[in-house]
Amino acid sequence: MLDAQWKARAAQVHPDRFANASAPEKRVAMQWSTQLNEAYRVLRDPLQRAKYLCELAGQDVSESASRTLDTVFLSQQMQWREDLENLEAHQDGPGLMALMTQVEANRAQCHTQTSQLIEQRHWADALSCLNEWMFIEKFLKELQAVKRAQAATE
Amino acid sequence: MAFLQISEPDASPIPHQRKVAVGIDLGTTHSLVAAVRHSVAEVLPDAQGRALMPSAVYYQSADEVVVGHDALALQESKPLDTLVSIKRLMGKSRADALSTGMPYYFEDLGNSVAIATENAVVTPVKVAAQILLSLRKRAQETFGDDVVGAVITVPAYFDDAQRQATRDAARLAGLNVLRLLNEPTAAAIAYGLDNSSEGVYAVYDLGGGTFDLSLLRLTQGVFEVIATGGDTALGGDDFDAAIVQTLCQQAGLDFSEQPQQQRHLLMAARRLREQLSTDDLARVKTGLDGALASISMTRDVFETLATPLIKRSLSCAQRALDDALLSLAQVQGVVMVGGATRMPVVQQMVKQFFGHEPLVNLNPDEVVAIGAALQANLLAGNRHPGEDWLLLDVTPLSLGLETMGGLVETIIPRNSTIPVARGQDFTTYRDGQTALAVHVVQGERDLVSECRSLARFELRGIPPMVAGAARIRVTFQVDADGLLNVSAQEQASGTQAEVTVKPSHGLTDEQIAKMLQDSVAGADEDAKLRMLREEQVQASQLLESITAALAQDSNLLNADELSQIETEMANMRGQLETDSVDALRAAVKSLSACTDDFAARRMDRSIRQALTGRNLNEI
Repeated sequence: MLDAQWKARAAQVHPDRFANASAPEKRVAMQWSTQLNEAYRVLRDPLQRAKYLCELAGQDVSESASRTLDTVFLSQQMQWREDLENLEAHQDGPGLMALMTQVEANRAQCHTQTSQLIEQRHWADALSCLNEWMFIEKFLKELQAVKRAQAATE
Repeated sequence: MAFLQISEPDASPIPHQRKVAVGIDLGTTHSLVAAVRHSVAEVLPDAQGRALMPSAVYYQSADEVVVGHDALALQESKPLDTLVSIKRLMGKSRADALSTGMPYYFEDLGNSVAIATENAVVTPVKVAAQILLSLRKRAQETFGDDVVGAVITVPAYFDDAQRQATRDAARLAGLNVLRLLNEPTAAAIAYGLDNSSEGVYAVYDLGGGTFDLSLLRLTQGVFEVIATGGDTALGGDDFDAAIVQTLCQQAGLDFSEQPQQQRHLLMAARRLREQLSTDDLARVKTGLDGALASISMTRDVFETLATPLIKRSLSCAQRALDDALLSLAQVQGVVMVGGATRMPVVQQMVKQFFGHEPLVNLNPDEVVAIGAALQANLLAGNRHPGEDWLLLDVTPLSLGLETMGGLVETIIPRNSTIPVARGQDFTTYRDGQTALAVHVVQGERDLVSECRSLARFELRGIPPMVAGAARIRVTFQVDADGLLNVSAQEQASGTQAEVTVKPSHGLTDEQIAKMLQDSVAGADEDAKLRMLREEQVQASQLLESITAALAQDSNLLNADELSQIETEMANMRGQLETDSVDALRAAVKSLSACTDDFAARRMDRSIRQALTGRNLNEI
């Protein structure tokens, strides 16, 4: 749906549609297309989209914003980091896959929770859930990097 | 550069009738020009019926050149002065040029390179301009009139400097560049429109000097590039070099310091390689004396030599797949482009990798030019009803900034759909600091020294504040040609910081203007007349488009604005018959400037209309 909308709008504002137009029209076409591409980039990524929805509601989603930290999640973070270090040291491929599956499940949970909280306009909770989600996303990237490194040495 | 309107022969000159626009494939070994004639895109042959023009230029003097087949004929006798494979030097520095192993005498030219031949010292941009000029003349002779614009193809993996250099060359050749188009994307247009395919396709483009791989999703007239990868220093030439290296080693000879002999060997190697596409054993004469008077090779030996090069191309393909988050099973077909894909070993390994028989039904030498011609025709506004498509292309390389310690901070990641813009905030380091330097780089490595330096900017005029208080927003904009523009603004005070752009490669607008002027200065009156005529056409076109816009949307303007536009229009009508290019240009500029805002409002309205009746969730 989003994809089709993006393409339909792009068909209207893309600079190729204005290759023969005057310089100002060309410039405006480029600006519109740029905005459209940015909108598509944000909306198609669930995390970016959630952040954007919070921003629209006037919430500060920057990571530096002070927020009540959930101690349960903090200890979970530390546990995961420790696990990753061990798995990395032991070149444990299957263990890494298992950890990834677990973290991905947590991400899915964050996704569902955040979207519910945003819908209910419970901003404080939504932001702290979003915070967890951002951490998970970053941590997954690290996991993927380790997985790639392991694959490369095999 | 202005648009020239061309009337059909024997037809009344109605504005907005068919305009001749061409597609040009500026290749490493050869170049082509194609155009849509009688609704069919075809390559335009020269007077002798030859479609391919060797990308070779020989300078008889600074102004007199021999281009194409005639230049290539001089190559064996004058290897240091006949310029071939010049595309490899576009947007490169002297150090880059030296590392190509090309036999020419290179001179340092700031951040770019010049080549000293016996009769002239030239830049790669000028040489490429000669090739483009020659193709433009071919199109002119075919149609009996000038072309209004051109789509020029570049390897998808070209960086900003290489794209800038290509555009500069086209401007020097007097071409109005409608768009720089990525070669694999052009090929996809030619194939996609022919076969009306849907789904994900890979385009494997192995040319004379460059390799590109693009992954595209084709849906109902939209060509969406999902990811692109490649190597701008991998092509058919490298297979020839590998053959020469092996044979020289076997014979215990070394010709690397003797350019003429080396050139003979490379040309013989190419013939050998071409023969091996059909035969199991090939033998060719080299024109040298002694052990290497003739060279031979079996297909098996050649394929062993070729394998590591092909593997290099396939690892680019794998990375593009990873970037696109696609598995091989999701790719429905692979299209072969570029003369080097005629090698059976290439087709075989590509088939093995993708698990599909590669599509080779269009001529791999011509398919890029054909696609470019189709796109040029569309951009020029010649499309027939029902014949429409949209291209969504991406940036091939990440754009970033140098941060502390020579590290790169990525601002726009590779494979972002263009046009794209991203902002980055900077602040000052010391109290009262009024300027800061920014270094823009392109590439995928973490260290600045391993990326290509694109430009250095100085932001000046920052109001003095305590350290860390200023907020300078630098915006990077990549346009539909894949070219970068940078602007900057101090946020806290709203001061527009001055940006001094120093391109690390390529030419500034002033340099281009001067080169154009230099080439016109000594020339005949014709050139001046042409410039005037182009301005006149552009002026009338502008008048026409504003008249149409006013008829439709004049209610977007208040009385003052309307009367100002009308005054400017009247002023320009008065200038139409002038013989001063400058006066006309000034009038065009002033009229464009005062309709700037109007154009923006009209675009706004058309988009609002398109979006009305849809809520956010639906989008």
